[in-house]
Amino acid sequence: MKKTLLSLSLIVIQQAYGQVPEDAIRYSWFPHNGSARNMATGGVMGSLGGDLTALYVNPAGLGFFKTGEAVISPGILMNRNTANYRDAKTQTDKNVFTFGPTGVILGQVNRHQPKNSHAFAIGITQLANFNNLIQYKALNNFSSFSEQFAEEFAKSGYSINDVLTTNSPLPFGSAPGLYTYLIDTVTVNGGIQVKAAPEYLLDAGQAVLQEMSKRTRGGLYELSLGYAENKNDKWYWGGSIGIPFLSYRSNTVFTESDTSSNNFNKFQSFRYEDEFKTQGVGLNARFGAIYRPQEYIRIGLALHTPSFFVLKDTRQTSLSTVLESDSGTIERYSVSSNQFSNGSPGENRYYQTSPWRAVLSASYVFREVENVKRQRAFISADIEYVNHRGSRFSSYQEEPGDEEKNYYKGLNRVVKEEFKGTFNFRVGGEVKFNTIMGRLGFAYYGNPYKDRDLKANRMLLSGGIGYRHHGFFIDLTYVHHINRDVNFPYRLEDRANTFANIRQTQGQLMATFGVKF
Amino acid sequence: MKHKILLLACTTALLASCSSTYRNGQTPDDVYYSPVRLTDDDNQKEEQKRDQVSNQHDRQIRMARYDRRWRDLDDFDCRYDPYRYGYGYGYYYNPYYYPFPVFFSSPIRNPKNNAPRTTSLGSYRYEEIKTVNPKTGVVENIYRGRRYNQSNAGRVIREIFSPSNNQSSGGNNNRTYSPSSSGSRSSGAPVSRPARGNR
Repeated sequence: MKKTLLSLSLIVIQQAYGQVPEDAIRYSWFPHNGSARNMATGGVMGSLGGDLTALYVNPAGLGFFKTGEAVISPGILMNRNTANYRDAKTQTDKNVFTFGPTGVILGQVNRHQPKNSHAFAIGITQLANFNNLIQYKALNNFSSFSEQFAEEFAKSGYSINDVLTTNSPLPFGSAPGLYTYLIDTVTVNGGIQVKAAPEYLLDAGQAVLQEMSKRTRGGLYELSLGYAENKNDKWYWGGSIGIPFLSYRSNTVFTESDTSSNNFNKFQSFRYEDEFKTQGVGLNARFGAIYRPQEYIRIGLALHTPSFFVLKDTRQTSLSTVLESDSGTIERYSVSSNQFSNGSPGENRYYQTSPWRAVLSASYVFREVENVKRQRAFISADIEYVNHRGSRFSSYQEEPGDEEKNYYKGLNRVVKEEFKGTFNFRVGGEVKFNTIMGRLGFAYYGNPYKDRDLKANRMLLSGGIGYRHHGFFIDLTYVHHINRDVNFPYRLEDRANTFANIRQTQGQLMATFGVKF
Repeated sequence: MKHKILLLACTTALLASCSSTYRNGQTPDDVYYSPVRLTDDDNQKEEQKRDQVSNQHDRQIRMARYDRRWRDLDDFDCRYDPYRYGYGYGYYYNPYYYPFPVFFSSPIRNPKNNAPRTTSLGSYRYEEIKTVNPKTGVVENIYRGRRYNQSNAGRVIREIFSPSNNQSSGGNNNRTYSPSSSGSRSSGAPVSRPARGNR
């Protein structure tokens, strides 16, 4: 009996399922989003200061304010994705609204020592924008999307009756797959195996036509409160508390079909739809210092703590299958995962911790003088390190069971193995002509995947202009993003995987309106 | 989208309606230089703040004459006051104090299915191969890249491979149907599959 229980627990433990590793990278690998002026100069803010964006990069930069300022930064993001999946290219477009730092800064001078001051700031921004549409379509003669269900079910150690219940342990994939006969048990050489219907085509050397469409919505927003001290116009210290709000929704539709006219190969098509939502709130902090060893020169260092999130996933799927019987007749089945999750979408709560970051920066500000007619230019550069392998997941339960503990242990191990720390670089500058300014910038975000076959990076080329007069200012910026990433439609453990290479170009238009007081 | 545009328009209008101190003269640029801005109002505010702190302290002294709890703010000995209500030290004389948490019953609902979103974590792992270093004779673990199939070109053998022992995710690498014999492990009611042959 003990042996049976032990082997059963091992099967369950080794199944090691939890949230998916891509959740980790989604909330850590995104380009910096700042005010229009900041974005035009590549996003540099580690040592420059004097902009509300400092609240989200190096709060010590708020210490440069001895005046007050209120700003709003709306923008538009125009996405164009080109997916290359098994040598077939598909292009999609999606335009979305976005916004950068919006808030108020209050600077206050010490009346007895005018070189000492402090500043307080409150702001909200969209750190990451998840709105996008990725589609691809290609023939595949090697594997089927449905095999992930066959693999999941075979490895689970559950019987068909265990899975086909109103409170199923595998309600989103295996249960709908079994119910609609997309996967089923078959006798092969005297043994019983789990097989997906499209495998009959693949085993015969034919290909299935696969189509994937993934529409994502939402963003990562953060409300931040910051405070900074300026000592003798030489040292600047600052800290901020951030409350990130996470809202992510995805709708994935995957279809697979037999392109032949053969009605006797057991499979014709299926359509799988996955409606997924993650919502939650978190907490983080940022600390920083800026040192001015001499006039014109600024050196900055900032540390960002991990964001600690409490998240809730909501999910439901549906599956429609069209099969062919041995006699060539067409059979249709369809089901919703709600039938296996107590009549409503499944819910799962958990904690997630995002990785920490560090920023090292230097700036050269030409003519730090009061007379704006004599202010000429600045150039600045940031190096940022992000420990992508540091994301962690844990159970929301006060006393999670061994099975759940092992879910998260396995997942955290995969995150450590799958991702790596990256260095990001930002450089930019401005030239100023009294009330009008011109800016250029560049930023590069490194590949977070450890696997060399997975090519990913982000490059941002930016330019903009600004006008500042009569107590108001307006900045306009265009940022051209060139991104590379990969997208796995499904993952198989016992077979070689396939993925799409995504090349994304984004045109980002940003404006910042501000008033000085 | 319309709501966002409306919100943006309202906020921009609000900003535009703000009167700026720097409407006349130069507009400071804090990136380069932030000017000191001292006004007579600042001095008045400082004095008012000082008076306010003083008044608060006077009020606290007056209140302490009538109510012991106000003394607690300055005098730690008052923590031993037997009439003090609260969550600090000592015994609770509060007649409304109840030492156990109070639970309110809520209507019973159909419990949510909390099965997490799943993926085969084994598919993310690198292949680990044990090899003997010919120079040192030490057994080393070498991580080999994962296998990918990215093209339909050529004749493809749909090979099922077995991960190395310590990467195995259950030892069932040929998708054998082998349910454990412990009976049903689900708390739900059975769902019957439709009969095959359904047109």
